[in-house]
Amino acid sequence: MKDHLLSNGTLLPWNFGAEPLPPNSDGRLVERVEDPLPELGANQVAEPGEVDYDPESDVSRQRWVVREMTEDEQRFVIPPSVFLWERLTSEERQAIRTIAQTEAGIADLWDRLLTLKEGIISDDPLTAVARGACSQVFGESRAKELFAKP
Amino acid sequence: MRRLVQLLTLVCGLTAHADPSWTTNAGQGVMTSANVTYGTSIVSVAFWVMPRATNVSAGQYFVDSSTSLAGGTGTSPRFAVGIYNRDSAYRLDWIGKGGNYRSQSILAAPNVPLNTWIHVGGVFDATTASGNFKGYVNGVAQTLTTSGTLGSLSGTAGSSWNANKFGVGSENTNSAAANAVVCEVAVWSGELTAEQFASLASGRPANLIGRKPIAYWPMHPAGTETMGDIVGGLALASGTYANTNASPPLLRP
Repeated sequence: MKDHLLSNGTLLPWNFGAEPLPPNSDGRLVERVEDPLPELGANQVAEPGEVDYDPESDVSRQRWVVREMTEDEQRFVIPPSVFLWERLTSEERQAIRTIAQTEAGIADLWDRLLTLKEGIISDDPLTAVARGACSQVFGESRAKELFAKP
Repeated sequence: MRRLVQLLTLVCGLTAHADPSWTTNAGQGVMTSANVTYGTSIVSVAFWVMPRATNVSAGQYFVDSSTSLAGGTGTSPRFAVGIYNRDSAYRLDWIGKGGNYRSQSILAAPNVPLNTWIHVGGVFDATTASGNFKGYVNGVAQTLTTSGTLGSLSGTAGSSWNANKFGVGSENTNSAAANAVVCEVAVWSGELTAEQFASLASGRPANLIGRKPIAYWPMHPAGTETMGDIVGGLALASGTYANTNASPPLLRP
């Protein structure tokens, strides 16, 4: 899928069209609006917040808006180069702390997992292990958030 | 892969908890029953502490690598971190000792704040005769100023730190005791990076910073019990303590 630009210059994320969308690098969310856009004519220009017309795209006629994130959403912001540990809530950190202080062997493994950054290297076996472990401890939906690609 | 995930989540059913932290009481510290082998000339140490009083006659020690630091007769380097009265103020003090001792304090800072959790880190380097100490407070490197008698680690330069018992809360079990709450004490061979000290100060456990300690005592006793070293197996002997003080906020769920 090719890159998409909103008319205000915002680059849509690489997985544009997927749900849910991770935040942009500027921390704002790109969100789909239910009502589709009318097809633009040859000389028409998209309004701010709308997707520019792209005849090769299967999503170009949908309306997307960029908005500021709520406080709840902000805690899921995943800036580049942040370790997995830094992305956990205090409750989640406490859960991992309890695990790590209970069994030394398990701590050694978690120590390696918590140095992972991003879910970019999704084919990496260690990342797969970390995602599986997070799914078991925090639930699948949270694991999906933690390992969402930027 | 599935087996590994199962292993990682073996204890995931445990609920998050906020056990109290170990509290010194009646001049009592706790000691390992066996020596700690550092195996290097550079040692790092870190812990959380909430000082409760500074009105001690000479100084008080939060951690101490030896049972006889103040004896003045040792020839192998030893190290400690505590509070000492320097220039009419009670300051955090990083102390190394060979035949004499060298002490460095944060002289620019005011008295150590009481009843406030602070994270303290130290690096003790005995590869030179004069020693080289580094101090961290809440994950930030401090400018240390030499104070007191500047001794020499001569004769021991390049040697490993003395293998000896490791104590928490006092110089030994009944001397220069701290009046404080202490927890999350850990020791590493070699020098931790500034980033690793910052990670510890952010609440990260000592065994989850990407560098394995040689000893790690969480020190959150639920009752009268031996406080285990969850890495090296050198448990701190049970001592007299009250368990009514909560853990540092960053360690609570």
